[in-house]
Amino acid sequence: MSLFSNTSVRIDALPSLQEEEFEGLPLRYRALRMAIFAIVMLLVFAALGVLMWFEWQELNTFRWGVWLALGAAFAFGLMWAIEEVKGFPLRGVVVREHDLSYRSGFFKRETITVPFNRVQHSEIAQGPLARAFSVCTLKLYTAGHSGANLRVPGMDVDRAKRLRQQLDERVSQS
Amino acid sequence: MWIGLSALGNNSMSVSANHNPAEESQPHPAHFPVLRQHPTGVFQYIVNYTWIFIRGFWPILAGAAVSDNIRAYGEWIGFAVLAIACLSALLQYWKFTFQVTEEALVIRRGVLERERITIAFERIQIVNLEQSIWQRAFGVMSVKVDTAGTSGAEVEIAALKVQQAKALKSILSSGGVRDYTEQDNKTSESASNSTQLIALSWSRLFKVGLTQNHLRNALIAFGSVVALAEPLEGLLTDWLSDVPMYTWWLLKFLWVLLIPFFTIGVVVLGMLVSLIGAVLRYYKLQVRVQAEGLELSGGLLKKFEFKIPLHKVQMLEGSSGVLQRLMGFETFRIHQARAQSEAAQGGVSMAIPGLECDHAERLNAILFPPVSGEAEVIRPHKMLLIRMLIFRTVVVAPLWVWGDGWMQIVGCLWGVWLYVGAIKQYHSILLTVYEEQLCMHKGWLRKKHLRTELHKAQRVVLTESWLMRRRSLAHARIYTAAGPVAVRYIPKKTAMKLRDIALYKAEATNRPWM
Repeated sequence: MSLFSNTSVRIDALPSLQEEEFEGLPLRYRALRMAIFAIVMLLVFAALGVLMWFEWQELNTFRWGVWLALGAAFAFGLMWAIEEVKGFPLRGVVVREHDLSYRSGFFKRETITVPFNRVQHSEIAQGPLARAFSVCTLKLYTAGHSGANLRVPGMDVDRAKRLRQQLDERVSQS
Repeated sequence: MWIGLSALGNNSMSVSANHNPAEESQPHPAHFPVLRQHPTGVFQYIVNYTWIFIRGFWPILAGAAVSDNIRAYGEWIGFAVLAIACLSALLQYWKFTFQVTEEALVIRRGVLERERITIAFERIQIVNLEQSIWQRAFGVMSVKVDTAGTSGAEVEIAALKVQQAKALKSILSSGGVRDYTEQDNKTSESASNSTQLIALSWSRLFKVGLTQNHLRNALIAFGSVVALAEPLEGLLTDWLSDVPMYTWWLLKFLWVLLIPFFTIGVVVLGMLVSLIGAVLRYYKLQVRVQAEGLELSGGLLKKFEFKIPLHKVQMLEGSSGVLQRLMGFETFRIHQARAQSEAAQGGVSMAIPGLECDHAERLNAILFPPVSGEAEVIRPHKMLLIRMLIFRTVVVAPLWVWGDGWMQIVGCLWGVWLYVGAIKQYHSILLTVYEEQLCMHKGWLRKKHLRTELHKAQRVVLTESWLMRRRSLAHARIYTAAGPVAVRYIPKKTAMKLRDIALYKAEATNRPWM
């Protein structure tokens, strides 16, 4: 353990996390998200179509509930589409010497930072759909009940593995 | 501490529970004795298993209430359940062994699926001793060990002789440098080098009981009375029919006079419940400061003993209601890192009630030594107030719109109360950032303050919604292992600065944070 030193630091001289430093996720991940969007929308509208068909068979007209469901489905789809289109360029990660940050979201933008020396263990998860697009989810776990973990979905597999290796080295060093 | 860490080397995971069958054939390290619990642990297991069976097979119990067929076999089923519970308890007791090695607690358990759990001493967060009444009759205690790992491994040794339990606790929480067998006769000495910080006397206990939240307690008491009264309904109706008619007739006119009686009754009931609760929970509460950490003990029916190393304290929360402030009291709560699985149950909270000002100061000074230095004060933006007011309006508005005359008046009064509360609450929110510490104040009638150190940060989250972005505001949340410190609606620049400081402190220090 090195000798303890406590030199004063000016707050504006601290290294600051800049918004411009975030690098985006691979475009393959965008394709994956679009695929999920398309599948979900297809299911929703298929269900609505079946409902409307039955209504038409029975009454030859539509009750107001059907119109409401249709409107809600359209609004939901539109919001999600905006979130995807506008939000994807905002998604990104910054890996600095001592921490990792992940930013996401358009309507509600969230930036999560986890220092490497607080990471208890890490995990790379990859579902079947993610495998098809060759992306993976990097998960960092910290201690305690705050559920404080960081999920970075849609990372390039090689990059995630390299990052994880670096992390493991750091954890075993400390 | 540091030597232990480096010696561990590659074994950096806090808990390695592995189900590898090859592990079993591995011999026990020779010079550390393999220990079993006290035989009374079997009782504990029997109780546990019976409870598990009852919970697991409640449909059968429900069936028994309806069907005569099942009821006919009820005794047999009961015997079978008890027999199975006894058998499994015995097996579990037999298969549960533990070993205290130089740097870890090794537990082997499980009947069908053998499990070997190694808990390194440094990874242990809390060691709790608990003793219920029946355990006291046998002179045994149960030891709970929590590691706060993400796997949420919590280990309980159900029964140990008091001497042994105390010795084990002192080893587990000291980082384990001494030998377990040597420790047995040392326990009496270790008590002497600790200084007592707080001891709750009877009069103080009485005051603490009087300053609890009576309204809540009265409601709880009332609720349980109603629940109990359900089966007694038949009795009650019999008794009511005996009441002569003219009493009802009188009641029709004189019910107004009864209101004060009822109010007094409810208040007295609430106070009584709070008093009993306080005595049960905080009887003979003592807080001691030792070299290794803080130690709490107390309890009337169920005794407890907590111990926590100072550097593992994540947060200190003080809260005081109106009554408590009048008495000059404050309740402190010590938060430590907890296993994730326990979050839903609330876990063990270390609450210290009835702290007077000077005691609170001392506790504060021990846990988070005050540093002189410039402090920066952060207050939320007006938008928070506006949002609070809008929410409250939405809650009250239905009364104004659809209510009758007197409903509207009630709505108005309620609205005014809510608005005043919102404004007061808004003005009470205050985050002070010292060089090393964070201090958060909030609350109006029930004041709260949270104190934590900046280098305990594990995760920093900034959130900004679409509306906030236009005013360049953000929420900042700094998570410690015991939970977040959150400030909402602060200028984004301040939030970013806060993040930079917290990250810098967490990354630049090599002081232990949990």
